[in-house]
Amino acid sequence: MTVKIQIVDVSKRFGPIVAVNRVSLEVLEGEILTIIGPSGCGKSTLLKMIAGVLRPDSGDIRIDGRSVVDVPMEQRRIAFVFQNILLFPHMTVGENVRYSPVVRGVEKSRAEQLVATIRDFLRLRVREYAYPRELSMGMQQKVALARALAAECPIMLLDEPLSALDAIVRARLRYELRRIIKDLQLTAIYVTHDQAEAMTVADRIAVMRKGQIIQVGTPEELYNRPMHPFVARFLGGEANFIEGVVREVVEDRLLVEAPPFSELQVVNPGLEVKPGSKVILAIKPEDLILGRGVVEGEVSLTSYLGDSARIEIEVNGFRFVYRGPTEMYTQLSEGDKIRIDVVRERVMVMKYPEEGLLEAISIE
Amino acid sequence: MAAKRAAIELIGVTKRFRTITALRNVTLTVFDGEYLVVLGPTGAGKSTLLKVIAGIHYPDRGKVLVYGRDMTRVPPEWRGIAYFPQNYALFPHLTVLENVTYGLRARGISESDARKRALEVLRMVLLHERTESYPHELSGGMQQRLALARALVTASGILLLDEPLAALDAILRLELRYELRRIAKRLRLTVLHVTHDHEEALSIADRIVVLRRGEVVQVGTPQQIYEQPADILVSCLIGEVNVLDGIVHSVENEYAIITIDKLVLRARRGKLKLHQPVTVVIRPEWVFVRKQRQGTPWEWEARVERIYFRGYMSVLDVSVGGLELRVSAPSHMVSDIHEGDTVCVEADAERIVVLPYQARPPELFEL
Repeated sequence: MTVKIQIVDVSKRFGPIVAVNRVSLEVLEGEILTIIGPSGCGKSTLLKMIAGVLRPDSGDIRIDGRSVVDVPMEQRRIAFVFQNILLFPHMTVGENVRYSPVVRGVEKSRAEQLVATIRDFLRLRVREYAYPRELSMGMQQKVALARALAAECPIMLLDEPLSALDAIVRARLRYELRRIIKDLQLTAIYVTHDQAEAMTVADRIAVMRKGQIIQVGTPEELYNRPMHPFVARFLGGEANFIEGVVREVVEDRLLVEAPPFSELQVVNPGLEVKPGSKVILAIKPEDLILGRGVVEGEVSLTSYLGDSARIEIEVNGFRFVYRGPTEMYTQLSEGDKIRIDVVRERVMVMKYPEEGLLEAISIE
Repeated sequence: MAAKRAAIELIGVTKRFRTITALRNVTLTVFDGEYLVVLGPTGAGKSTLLKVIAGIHYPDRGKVLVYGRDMTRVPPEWRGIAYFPQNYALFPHLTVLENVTYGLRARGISESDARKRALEVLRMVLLHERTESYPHELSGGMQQRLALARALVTASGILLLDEPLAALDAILRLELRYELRRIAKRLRLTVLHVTHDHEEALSIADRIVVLRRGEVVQVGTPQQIYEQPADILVSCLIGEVNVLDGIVHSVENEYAIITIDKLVLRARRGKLKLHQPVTVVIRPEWVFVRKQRQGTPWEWEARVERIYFRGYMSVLDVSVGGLELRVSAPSHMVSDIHEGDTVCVEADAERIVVLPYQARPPELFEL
């Protein structure tokens, strides 16, 4: 796989604030990389530097191996889709989509072919002569995407393209976005704060926090093997965090004292720890076992989520979130006493962060 | 639960704005202590419904009762209803704490009591460490939570929330929605919560009201709305769904055999009649996915086109004889399936929903 975009040690400050702090990142040709992080983590700033809207203070950005820091925005051959839908309001859908081919002087029959292809790809069933304001928001964003695609750029940058849409439209379009970008073999960087969106769209995800990238990996890697509690909070689907102290190190296992559990034998992902070391354990909601074990709690909230049930259990001061089949919703009621245990092999173990757990998983 | 007492009753409420009918003959009861979520697409009339209850709009027709008393034309300040609008305003010159205590002190509550209650509510919305900040020093999400705290602190009976979590980052939206429900239950509030987010609605509502073009289409528990949608639109509004058209081919005991083109599936018979044209609603997780055939007549051979790892669940787009179907399963159950594989899929006869054939409502294309 060839590297399409290379970000080398890039930093950007705004006055006293370091928005992007020495970020290095590679995006492969044909890959969709999602950058996820909370508001203000620097993800949009990073995207704007790649687009050429902002200039980095230091570091280099390369496309196809060549530095583009001095290349003006319009010569970088990058298409952009934003949260705010960019359409010319006085132009029809057809005119909006044809805008780039016409401006670029693409020959008429080839332009028509291009537009037809894009419409097919997008499954865009919308009248050519409609004006943007006559369309729903979801449809407008699809037209904006069509317009961006008609520029025939090999790279596409998307900055929260679905944030302004109704939840159900958002849920549906994220699958379509991935399909379209993949089918057209574009290289894309997609910025979002939404876990479900990042997981659905991405080949790889980069998690950004306070201007830095703290882990990059496939959705599965980040979900199952987070290296930082923040990654587990952001992509772990409501992971339960507990603090523990290592009692014993036995080969690749750790015996951890982690209240409310007296002792848990967990798999060591390769941490350099010794008896007495503090660690963070993250337990995914689906890795809790209900109705077994020695720890007893009380069901404090039951939710029906459609494809699953979500149950909250209070155990002397701790609140655990369980997720499992919808039958559990029918079987359990708020106030029920229940025993809980965990699937030991699946407990995620992380180094104890210097700043403390609460700060490490804090979003603001 | 004790006998249900109505907190709010809407009786035949209609509200027009010039030529647009925002609410059409809406009749709805909200019970005391209930967490009711109003769900619908943009423009369905959700906000108007709240404003009519809050007293910001008076209805053109119909009545609004609050605990049995006719409040149809009573101004907002006399209704005893707390209202959290979509576009809230904070006092820019007051600190976080002062913003929250303001409403309490205006009601003659002592400084120390007001402070105590405000801190309690600020803790609930995770702002207790920012009490001395000014609104402009807060992020957008924090400002929204501050506004929420201000609405919560004065709420004593009924609370109306218009998209209270909309401006928040996804992760906070997820965590705070459960907090909202906890707070409401702890303070014994009756809540009407407007949202377009179906997951939010499912996860925290006692009951959901689905609005479409100013009309109530369905009222029910999350489970009822999800598993027994009144029509196609409701089924599509409440989550991911495959909608297919077919015909009742034959009937066997309590099952109907339905053909969809060349595909055959089985569903609960209900009131279906032989040869009746039907619309079949299949949610992704209502489909079993197997690597090996089991030999039932209802399983379909499918090619896995795309797999989306979503954490707990994985989603698979499969093609079955020209149709594209979206199916899902807990990730660990499909970890040995890859893109390009041939698999068997079978729709769960006990769960799929079969409705009399319906033309697709136009809104569906906008979703």
